Amino acid sequence: MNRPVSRFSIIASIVRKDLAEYGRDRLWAFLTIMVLVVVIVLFWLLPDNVNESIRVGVSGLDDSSVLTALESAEEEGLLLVPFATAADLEAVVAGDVAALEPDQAGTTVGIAFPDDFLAATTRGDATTVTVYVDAAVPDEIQLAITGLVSELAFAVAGDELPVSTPGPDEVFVVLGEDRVGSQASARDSFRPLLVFLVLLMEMFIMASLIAKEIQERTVTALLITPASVGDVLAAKGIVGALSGMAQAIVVLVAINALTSQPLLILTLMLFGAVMVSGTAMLAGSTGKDFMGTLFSGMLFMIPLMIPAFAALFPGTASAWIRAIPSYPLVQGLINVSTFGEGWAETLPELGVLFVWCVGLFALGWMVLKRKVQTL
Amino acid sequence: MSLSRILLVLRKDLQLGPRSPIFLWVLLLPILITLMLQVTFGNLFDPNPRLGIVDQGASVVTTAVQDLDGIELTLLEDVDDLKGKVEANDLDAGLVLQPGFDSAVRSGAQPALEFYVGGQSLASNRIILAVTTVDLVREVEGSAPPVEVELVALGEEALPISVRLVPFIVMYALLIAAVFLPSFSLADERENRTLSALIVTPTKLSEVVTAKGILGFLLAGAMALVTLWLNSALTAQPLALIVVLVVAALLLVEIGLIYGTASKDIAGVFALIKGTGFILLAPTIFYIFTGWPQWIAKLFPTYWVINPVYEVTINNAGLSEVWVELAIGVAVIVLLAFVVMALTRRLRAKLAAT
Repeated sequence: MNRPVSRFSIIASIVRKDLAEYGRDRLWAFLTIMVLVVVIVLFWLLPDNVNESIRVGVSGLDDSSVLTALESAEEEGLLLVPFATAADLEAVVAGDVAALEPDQAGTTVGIAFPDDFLAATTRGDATTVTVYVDAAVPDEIQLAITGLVSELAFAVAGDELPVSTPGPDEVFVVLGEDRVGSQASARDSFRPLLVFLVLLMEMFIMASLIAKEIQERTVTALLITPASVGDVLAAKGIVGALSGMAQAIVVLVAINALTSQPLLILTLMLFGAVMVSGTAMLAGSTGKDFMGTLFSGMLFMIPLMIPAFAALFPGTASAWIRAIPSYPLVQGLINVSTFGEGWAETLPELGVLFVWCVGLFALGWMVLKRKVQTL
Repeated sequence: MSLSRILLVLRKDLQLGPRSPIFLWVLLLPILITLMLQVTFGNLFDPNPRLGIVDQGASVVTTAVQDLDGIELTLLEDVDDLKGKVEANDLDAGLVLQPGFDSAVRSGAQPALEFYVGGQSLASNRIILAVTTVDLVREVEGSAPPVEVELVALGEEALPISVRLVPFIVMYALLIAAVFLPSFSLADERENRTLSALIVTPTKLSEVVTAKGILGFLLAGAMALVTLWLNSALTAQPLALIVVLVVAALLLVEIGLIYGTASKDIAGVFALIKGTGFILLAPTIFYIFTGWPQWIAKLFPTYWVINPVYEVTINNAGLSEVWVELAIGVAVIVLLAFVVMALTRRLRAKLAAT
């Protein structure tokens, strides 16, 4: 007499079998480790600061107070590097000689003031200032530096601006939190993309394992045991979510992303892993062989990647990007990991992600169930 | 080796190949990548400062900004919309030009400068946009600056990012057609045992491998030309272009054949491509990031075939200027030919044993 077997133990047995199969597949084991290593190494190779200043070499201005005033007036947008002579400045900008001082290295724009610039301009005499630029310097910077010299001359000559400004040293009004000096670095911008990449890799692996089961019809063998189609699918979903979450946690820990709001980040990742698991069921049930699965996986992967890439650009994503299921996950990760937001602020993203997660998982479940039943 | 048998296998591959998703990749991916990199994500590498203007009085400042290179201008109707976009970092800065702004400036009435910058805008963009705006307002005023500024450009002008991306996109097109196609095709035939069936006919394995190579070579050349055309880079001297593309396609086809003959199944090819793809593409990254030490690119074998493509297509170089690289590329091709032959012999022995 056989004892009745609980659904839980059936699902647990299939999960164990799937995990063992996953571990035995050398290709996917290799790719999983490779992707994890590449993602983590790439993250730490990315710059963790933002260079917001234009480095400008200056020669011929002996009055250091003018230099300091100029630099502080322009806040951190300008980094002035003094040079002893115009010839030195020209040579460094042209790349003809190595930088004379360590801080002169990398100077691609230089302003050579004539020796009598301050006195002559104050007297109202016209002078000529030479601006040296590396030809590779963008047009807008060349234009701005030329304008800056003119503006400095106007100021020295005592000519007021032809417009009234918000303050004596303020030309503009800053809207929103002023993030000068604390901008999101490349590491911050790439963090959601890299974490999401791991989940997508997981999608490929899951899709491939599902396709293999369909191809080899091992799934039909399972169905002659007490396991139902629902048990098999539930196990697939659990394996997908578990392995996705496990890899995501490894990456999150390695890139130091769990230091703030860890529970919120893990919740986002869990929803993301379940969503990806549903997508893998869809991709896996449509693929006939390795190449077919790879191709259908790519068809799902490319659109899902778009929000993560779009996050690298400043500003609000377009409406069509916001309609992609992975958008709330990526935006939620950005809100938490880059801007330090909490549960309340991330609730809209969490809600939309949950809806996508349930919807895609249900869709994947239905498609795969139909596929299994037709075998 | 029989040419007729090679052509027979080639014809079979041409007839059956389009059923495989890899064919679709070969044809679609170069177009998709061009679209993604050049149209959608191109300005990620070279972002321009973004200025929004609400011009309520047809100011000449707006016309002047429109004529400037390097500043991305957005014209808006509503001040609140402008402020919203600046605050959301959809624009770096916003300028509101009130009705009669120009005449007020000219009359010395000193109208208010309504200039907003976003909290997330870079300090460098703020200074560029602020100084440029003030400079243009000075021009409206008509006062000559008390200084003459002489701009001296030194060195060579940098190529725009759209041009620097071309080697990457061409390399990708070559990789997919020349490496993916022959390698996956060989592995697929081996996995499905059609290769074992073929070699019991008069067709030799070397002929099958050659046919796969020819197919990859022809498609790689065609897709490289299509990609160059899509990227408006098909202006090189025809003979030089053909020679450099032939050398590049040959070298990559050999890599594809090595992957295909060395792997026991498709999964193995996939693992090889995933594991080594970066090495093949790496030299093209150095064209995008010109500040990186360029000598590192020369350490990668594919540099010796992609650099002639770059020089001929982008810098309009002739064969006399790239012959050293081409010679090294040809030497690598000869070397790899021996590896392909050895691996083909090994595969034949394995197939015979099974």
